[in-house]
Amino acid sequence: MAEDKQKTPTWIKLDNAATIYPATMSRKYAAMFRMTATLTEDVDRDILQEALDNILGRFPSFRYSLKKGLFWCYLRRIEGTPKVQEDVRNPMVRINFNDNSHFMFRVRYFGRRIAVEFFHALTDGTGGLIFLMTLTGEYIRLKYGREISYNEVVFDPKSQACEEEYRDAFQKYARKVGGLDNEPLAYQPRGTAESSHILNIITGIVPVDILKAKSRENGCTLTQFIVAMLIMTIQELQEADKSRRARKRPVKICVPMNLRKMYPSRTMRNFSTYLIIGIETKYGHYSMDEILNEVKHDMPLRASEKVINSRITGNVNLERSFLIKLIPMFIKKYIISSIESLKGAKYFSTTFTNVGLVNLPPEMAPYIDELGFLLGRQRANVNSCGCISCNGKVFFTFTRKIKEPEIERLFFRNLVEAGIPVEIESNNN
Amino acid sequence: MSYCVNCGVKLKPSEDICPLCGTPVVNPNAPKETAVPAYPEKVEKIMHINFKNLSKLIVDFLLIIAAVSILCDLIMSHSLSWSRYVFFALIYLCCQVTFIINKNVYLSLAIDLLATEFLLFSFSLLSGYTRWFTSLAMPLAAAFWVYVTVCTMLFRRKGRNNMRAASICLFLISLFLIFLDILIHCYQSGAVAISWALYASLPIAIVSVIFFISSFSHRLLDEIKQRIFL
Repeated sequence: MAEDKQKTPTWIKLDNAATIYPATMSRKYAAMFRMTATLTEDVDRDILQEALDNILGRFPSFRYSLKKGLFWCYLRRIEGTPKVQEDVRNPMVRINFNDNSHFMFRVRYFGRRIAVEFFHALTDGTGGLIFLMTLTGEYIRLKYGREISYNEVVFDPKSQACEEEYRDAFQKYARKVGGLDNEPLAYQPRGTAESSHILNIITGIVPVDILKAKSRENGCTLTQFIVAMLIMTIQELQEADKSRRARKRPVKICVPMNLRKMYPSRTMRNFSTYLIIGIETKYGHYSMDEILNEVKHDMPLRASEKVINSRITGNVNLERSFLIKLIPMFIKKYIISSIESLKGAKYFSTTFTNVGLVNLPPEMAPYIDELGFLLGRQRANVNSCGCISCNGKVFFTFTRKIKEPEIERLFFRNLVEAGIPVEIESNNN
Repeated sequence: MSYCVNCGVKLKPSEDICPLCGTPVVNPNAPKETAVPAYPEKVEKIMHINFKNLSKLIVDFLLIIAAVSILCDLIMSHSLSWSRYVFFALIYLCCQVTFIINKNVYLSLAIDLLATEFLLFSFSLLSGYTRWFTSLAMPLAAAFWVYVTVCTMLFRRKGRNNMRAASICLFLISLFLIFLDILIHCYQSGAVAISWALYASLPIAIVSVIFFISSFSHRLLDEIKQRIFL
């Protein structure tokens, strides 16, 4: 078992993005996401547990548990390793920290699939991906005896973590002046609610070369093409929605963005922001070309360094504000929680998060069939879409808290009509 | 491996109906293959608060307080004097517990009204004066209860217009103030008269009518929501 060779602090503060998650946590809901790797053979539980024991030392920032302070929540270092659990049909039920040895993530397995579920206060998609890939790499090394050539996605479990990995990168890169802008409310698709512990999952698998060719044909990137498709799907839903509530609110998609590409940081904690791209449907029906035009030009503008930094600095300044610091946590929690539930994510219709192409080491690629990335139940949105790609395939995973799969059905039908073949898997609830 | 005839997507062997549109997968030529399911059967449950036990706990706790106060009274003054008031107040609190266990808010509100009237009635009996109860406290409590029930009905409606509901509640406040004034006059002099209530309720009524009219303009509501948000 690898030891923690370096001295990590006994306690650390939550990073800026994570401060909101413990406040909005409740008995039924917590901001979570899940990353999966489906191998070519059934997963061996003992080897998986051994792999987890081996790699946990490499990720000191994951060895923390959430504690409540008087003014803010914080993270306290814990020892030991969580036990590997069997997977369930309804993943991402809120982690009961007492059952889970106080860790903020859990490793599960079922059949050929390894899944790791994270509480968002611990890390973001990129950090979670590195953890899962390192775990899978170590599992493959132990089971098949292959020596893995480590890279930027699969870390060497015996290497040392640098201090930057558990520091808050938001504080480092925030400047002096920031601004938080007003977003108008977005159209929210509706449906029949599912019970609060049920999550409906549909995965669509698409060949990456066909998708890339289609995006190139339209002169945009893959993410922009999919965002445009999603906007078109939700516009279709809005036009079919006869209720007054639809009332021509804009259709907007939230696209999280990894800030490690913009700022040189090796942090394993949260370091991402989001862009909100959309169309104003009250001005009329947008064709696919018009939507693509909006997305192609709007996204790079919103992703400029100055705009992003102003939002980071705005959020950090909120945290640094003397008045906000003085409010005790139990009052802050209720204020943040009630604002979240009243307004929350109603500024966008759905989320599309893309961790991109995973650069698998050649020794691992033959043993990995599929990857998956999914978000947990959202407070205000009915569904969300996570995207990851490897081995020539792109995996879209939609999760929803309603019974009707209308968004998924229309989205995949639009892909099929555009000449892109789709293969579907679900959790059959 | 089959395709959905409705959506045109390929379906993994683990799917026996299309998850997107519900169309059953029919493949008459393929043999009955036992496909490996993609997700396990086990469903994780979340912890639920047992409200019945919680309310029993609260009622037990209140009864303990009642017993202790009666005991103290008997020991100190050898008769039940002040503990009778405590006892009735605790019965009133026990009735409030129905809000926790009862799903139907209106039933709980009805029990609440009966409990309030009973508490005030018992206080009036114990103190020996009943006139204040019959002519002041009882109608006042009933009027206030009507106000709370109407507000609850307005705000629980799905797809309500918040501004409109608030304007009606505001208007009802002005009516309540007039009623209060008449009640006080009846109690004091036996005559029906309105004095100060007009000065209070007229501005409130005017403001509520303005809110009511402006609640029909969606553009105005959107503008207000944009400016006043947290």
